[in-house]
Amino acid sequence: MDVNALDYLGNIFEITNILAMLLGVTVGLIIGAIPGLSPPMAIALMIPVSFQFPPETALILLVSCFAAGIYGGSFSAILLRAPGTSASAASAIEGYEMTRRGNAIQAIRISTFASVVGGIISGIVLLVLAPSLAKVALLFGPAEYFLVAILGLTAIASVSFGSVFKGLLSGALGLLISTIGIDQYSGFPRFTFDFIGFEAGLGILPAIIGLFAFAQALELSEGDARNTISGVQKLSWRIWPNLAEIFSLRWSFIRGWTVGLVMGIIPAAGGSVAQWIAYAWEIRRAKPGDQFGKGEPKGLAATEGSNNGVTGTSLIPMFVLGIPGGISAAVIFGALMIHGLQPGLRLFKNSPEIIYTIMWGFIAANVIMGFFAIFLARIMAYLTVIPRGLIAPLIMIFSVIGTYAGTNNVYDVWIMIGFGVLGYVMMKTNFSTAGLLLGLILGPIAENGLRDLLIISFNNPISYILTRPISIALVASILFIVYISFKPQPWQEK
Amino acid sequence: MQIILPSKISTILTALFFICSSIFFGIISLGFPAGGELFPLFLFGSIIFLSFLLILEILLKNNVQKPIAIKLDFFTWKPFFVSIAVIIHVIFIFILGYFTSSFLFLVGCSILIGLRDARAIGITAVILFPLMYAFFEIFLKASLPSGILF
Repeated sequence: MDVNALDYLGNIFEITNILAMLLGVTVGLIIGAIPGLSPPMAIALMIPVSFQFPPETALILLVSCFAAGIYGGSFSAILLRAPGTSASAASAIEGYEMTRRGNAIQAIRISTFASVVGGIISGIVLLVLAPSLAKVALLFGPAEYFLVAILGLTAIASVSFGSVFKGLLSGALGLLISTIGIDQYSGFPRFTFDFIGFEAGLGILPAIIGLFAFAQALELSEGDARNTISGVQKLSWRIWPNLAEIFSLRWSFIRGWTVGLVMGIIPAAGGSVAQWIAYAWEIRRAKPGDQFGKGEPKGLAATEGSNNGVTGTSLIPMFVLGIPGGISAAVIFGALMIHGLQPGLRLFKNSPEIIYTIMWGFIAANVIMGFFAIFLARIMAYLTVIPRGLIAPLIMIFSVIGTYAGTNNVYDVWIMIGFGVLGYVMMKTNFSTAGLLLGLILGPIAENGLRDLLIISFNNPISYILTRPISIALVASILFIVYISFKPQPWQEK
Repeated sequence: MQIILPSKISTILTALFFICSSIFFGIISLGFPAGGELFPLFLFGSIIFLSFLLILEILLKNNVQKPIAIKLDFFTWKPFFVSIAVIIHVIFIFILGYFTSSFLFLVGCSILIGLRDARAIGITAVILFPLMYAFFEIFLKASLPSGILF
């Protein structure tokens, strides 16, 4: 490790830095847990507060908010199938099924361990390998972006329970929905039908809330209103990590963290894609007896490991190259500039005390987040013992206010309701809401990558791809995933 | 009373719907300028191809799937009525104000779903709305629609 990095470890124990971490973690956890309010919003809210502090403390506040925001999104995903962030959408599948089976506390325990350790590992990678790993991000061009999007989409085939074709159709539908709105290349409106609310495109935020939270509330409104989500009336107090449980899930955690660390370095991919790839990988590694889609802890361990494994490494391109890897990184990038810091290798040379203190702060914030989560989880888990007749309207109220407060646009509320009804119908007909969401997220990356690829390759994309080693590796991965998706899965054999 | 639709027929109908919609929207997308039609056309082609594969899969499958039964009673259609209630709630947000409309929705929707516990609904409202006001209006400064009431 760079000897300079260790020299700055002591800075994080200053009282202002500790207070900044506590504030960032608290705000991040609360905002992340509310569907519609995202980590970038939490970070943006904290920027005016950060003016009161010196640059390193200000940035510690913001990166703490970022890490806790991603983790906070998992609470609502697990307990209500209402992911607070797009990076938690995959956790809603196994996490919510565990809650329904009365294992909410176990699910949160797994999520907390995966997220905290994933965040710490990601922070250490950020601290140790930032300058050298940033060079990898520079190797990605339009061809690689397009292929990363396709790779993410092939994950749909693996995470579709039932028909693979229905899963792929859902993904294609999501990609298609992502084309609605003004075409950024020509300025021409596509599929808007003169409806002004469609011109800016259908946002990811209303889609997440609609497809998961609202659709779930509609499902909860069925049946006996006095029943609870899980059917249990009392909750366990065992929230501390259980060594036997961790040991039995060790490979799932490791696979999740690995995917997160790698995907974090790729700009624009981030936790939204990483979680699905981790989940698909986990399903492929499943053994007979595993119950994927019905509350399998291995699936949750992988998705939760990956979405927090991303957090630290996603800051690498931003800190070293000045390329924000996602929306949260872009907001932090803006905050760096506001505080008079120019991202890039010179930041490491000229202001090591600032950059390394921020990185240590990020690692410490993940530790603090773990302790906070233990207490918060106990309170949040009570949501699962509220009658369905009360929780369904509450989810709907939060879906409406979350969408409105997130975008300040009433059209997005209508779009969210539309997605909600669509999601409910898809759930009933065994189509994949997760696939549709993934298509929607990856649509702009895939389309921009394809169009840039066609320009850069003079309309000869295949020859161009074959000249680039990373592209060839990505094509091989795509073909491999497609091949194994159609193979019978051992855990489904009777 | 209920309508029973065999699973094979419902899947084939869904696939045919996808194929027809793709052809219709594909023709619309031919008019997009500057390469804006490329990606949608690629997707429509993929959807048509996948829909045919879905039909093929369902025709070749031997296992008998459960038929889809659509009951024509209140309980089956409850999510539909709840959706209507949400639409009314959103419209009333801009007339009555966010908090008034949300309170009426909480009470009305709970009763519609079948919960008849006035105490639970009352306690939830008393705890929820002040917290929501403090968080969204004071902390986030979200300026929620106020309407003629609150």
